[in-house]
Amino acid sequence: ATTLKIATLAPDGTAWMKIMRAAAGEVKKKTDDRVKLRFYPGGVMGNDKSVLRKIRVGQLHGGAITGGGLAGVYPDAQLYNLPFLFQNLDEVDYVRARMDQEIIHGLSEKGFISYGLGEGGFAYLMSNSPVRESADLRKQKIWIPEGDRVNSVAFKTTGVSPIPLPITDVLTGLQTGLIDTVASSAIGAIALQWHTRVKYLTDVPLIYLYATLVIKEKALKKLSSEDRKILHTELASAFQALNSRNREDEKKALLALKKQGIEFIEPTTQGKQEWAQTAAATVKALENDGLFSPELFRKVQGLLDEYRQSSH
Amino acid sequence: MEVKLKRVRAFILLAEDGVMTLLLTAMILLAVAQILLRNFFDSGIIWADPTLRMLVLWVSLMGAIASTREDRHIRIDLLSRYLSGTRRSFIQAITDLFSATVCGLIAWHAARFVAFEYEDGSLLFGSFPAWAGEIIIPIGFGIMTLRFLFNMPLRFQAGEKQ
Amino acid sequence: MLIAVGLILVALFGAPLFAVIGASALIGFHQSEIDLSVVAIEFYRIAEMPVLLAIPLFTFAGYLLSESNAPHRLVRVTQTLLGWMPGGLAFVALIACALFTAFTGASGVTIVALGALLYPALTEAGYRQNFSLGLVTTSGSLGLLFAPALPLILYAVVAQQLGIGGSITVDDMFLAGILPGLLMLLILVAWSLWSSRGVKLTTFSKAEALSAIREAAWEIPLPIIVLGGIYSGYFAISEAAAVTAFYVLVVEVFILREISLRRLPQVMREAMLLVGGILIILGMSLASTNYMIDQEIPAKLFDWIRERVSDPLTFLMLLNLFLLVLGTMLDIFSALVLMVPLLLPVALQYGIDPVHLGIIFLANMQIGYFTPPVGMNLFIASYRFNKPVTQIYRATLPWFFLLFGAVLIITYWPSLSLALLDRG
Ligand code: NA
Ligand code: NA
Repeated sequence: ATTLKIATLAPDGTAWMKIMRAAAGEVKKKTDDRVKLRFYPGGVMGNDKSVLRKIRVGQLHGGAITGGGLAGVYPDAQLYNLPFLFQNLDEVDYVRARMDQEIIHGLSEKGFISYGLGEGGFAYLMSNSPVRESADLRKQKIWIPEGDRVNSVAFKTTGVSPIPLPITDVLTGLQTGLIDTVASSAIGAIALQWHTRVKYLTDVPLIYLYATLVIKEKALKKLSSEDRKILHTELASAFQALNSRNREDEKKALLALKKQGIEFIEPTTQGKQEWAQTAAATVKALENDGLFSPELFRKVQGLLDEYRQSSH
Repeated sequence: MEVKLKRVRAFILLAEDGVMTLLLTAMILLAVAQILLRNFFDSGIIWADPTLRMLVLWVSLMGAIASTREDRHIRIDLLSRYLSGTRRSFIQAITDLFSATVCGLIAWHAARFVAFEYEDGSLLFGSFPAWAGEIIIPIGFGIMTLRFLFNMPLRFQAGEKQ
Repeated sequence: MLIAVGLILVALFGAPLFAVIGASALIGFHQSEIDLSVVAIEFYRIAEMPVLLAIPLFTFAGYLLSESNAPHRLVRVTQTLLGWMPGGLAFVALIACALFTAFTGASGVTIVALGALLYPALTEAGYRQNFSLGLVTTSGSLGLLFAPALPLILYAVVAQQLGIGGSITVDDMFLAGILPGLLMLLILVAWSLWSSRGVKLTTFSKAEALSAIREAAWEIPLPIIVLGGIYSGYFAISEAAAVTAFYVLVVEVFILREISLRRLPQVMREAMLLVGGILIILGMSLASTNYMIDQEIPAKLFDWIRERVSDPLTFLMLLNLFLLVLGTMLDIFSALVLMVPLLLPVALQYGIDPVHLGIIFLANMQIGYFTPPVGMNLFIASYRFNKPVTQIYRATLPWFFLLFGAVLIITYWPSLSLALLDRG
């Protein structure tokens, strides 16, 4: 029997882990106990980098890793994470239906088998005073997750210098006024309880977040092709379930924020223009750094143009 | 010969202390600079936090090397105090050998880890290569290995003098 | 088994603790056929944990203060202000340690930073040596139940995400910790009063008090600057250590000039020796903890216990024992993330409130830090105060039993945790 050891960031007992464990049960049953999945939930194996190192030396065989985390292995994995890339979820669906396979293929060329992308929702700006355009943004004390190169470039082009802090300091930082703006998905903000310390949400999708379950191809060598197929079917359908479940949960979380009295702010027309320019400038800066391949980005851009023209 | 060795030893001590003082001073100044920049100039050093954490790793290993040199590691040591003379030296030499083996194994596998990171071209922030920060782990444990090995004959000398 | 005995023997014969823990990790990974470079990968996590930055900075500040005349000035201030009050200095010491730990976590840095100041002060003020050692060692983890301690926040974040047992907010946990934390403090204050019967009392003199305060005019503002700076948003909790180190450096070296620039490298070196000693052990513990996590040992242990439980009372009793053992094995953050998802559903079955469970969990973890024979803070104290571990064991044992009693009260008296909350 083969045991595949997989690290995830979601704590045990969450809906996320329940779906993963159910899939593991199916795999075990359908392969007659030949393939077992063992999970290390809650980030106990360390951050994305640490997990990737452990996969490299074989302690772990796979992990649920964010797009940004995979950038070290395969830079184009963070293509969807570019700031202000998508304007709504319909655009996401249109692009992802045509592009996910490219990213999965790119990962497999680096020796990682991906079983599909799981949505993490959009990150929004949540703040203590309304943010409608770049001038408002420059007045804020903004926290962004550390080490996020894409974001720091994006903020630099708007002339904002974000405040780097460990994630554990964010909640108290919001309370003391050390920071007054964070970028997070609604689910994330509620889980980390940041929503109790902010008043406004700027209703513009900032960054699209996702994670994917990858397993090192080398770890699957011992499996028969039939077992590999079973594994693939089960995990892929689990990820599809996770993907749509997350979309529902994020919708509910946004509603919960509204109900709690957080005011949703529309940007000004000027703000919209400024942020479109920011997005373009960021992409240019990152492209010059060679952080992702221009062909793939142009393809995404082409798909977006195509969709925006057809829907108008 | 002995004079020369003593000079080398004094130089190593000076270098170790110098590096430690430098690292700690850099740590304090960088952390304070970050706070001042934020509050008075509305800016911040994006690489400050990862650098500070890397300095913690370096300071730890430099401190551990110095602890090894001065034989001042934290230990439980409930039994060896009841031994005396040669017997005690013998036991101390054995624990030194044990520590040297552990440090040697870690140094070797840490070197492999750093080599992996070098091959992968991992970056710490921006363009700073991760291996250049991580290299202190094999170096630190390597020096400790040697130190524990050198300590072994010294234990018997000390035991005879008693 | 043979290996375990061998490791215990080399430890007892004086092998460095880090080498013993490192060896256990190496042997474990080797037996499970896992690449040993995992030990290095785990060790490297020292550079990935922002909380650790506080250790070198506070340690340095603590050494600077203890090498200057600050402990003496501190004794003078507290003697003149509180000398008339039985147990006055002990009382101040307990409060200071609790507050400090609430802000820095229980990594043992309280012992190194504050203990270095308080231990000489306590003995100078006439408290028994073992009492003073016990106080500074124990107080190294006192304060985990007071806001804004990180473990309280993390418990709420983990428990909330499970989506069972209703809402559990950070503020709930902050409120729930107050009374149990005060209970612990109260018991220790009472013990201090009892133990300080022999300490001479002085009468209060206004002139003497003013002169003492003037003498310590540079040190007294430090806590006010640090706390004020945090609460007014000038810096983060994680930056308090940097501000403290910088302030103490400027005051003791450049303003009061009690430590010359020439002596400074020597003080830095002494401090960094201790930092190296502590963090190399921590790095090795990360590896040994990772081995236990890899082999799912905490979960297996818990399963074993769960099978032997049929009613809430036995559950709570075994829970206390289990958490005590766990507290000496795992760091508090791994323990929270790994065990809360397993414990919470079972606790709910037995009708235990999730907020109450969190307080039980943290209270147990708190005393795990100085549970003999392996609690980490015992070794740190032994090293910092240059006393044999056996003496530290003896000195902390009464404190351990008192706080264990407090943990039992907290466990079996839920309203203590829940009284300040709406949940009843
Ligand atoms: Na512990
Ligand atoms: Na541990």
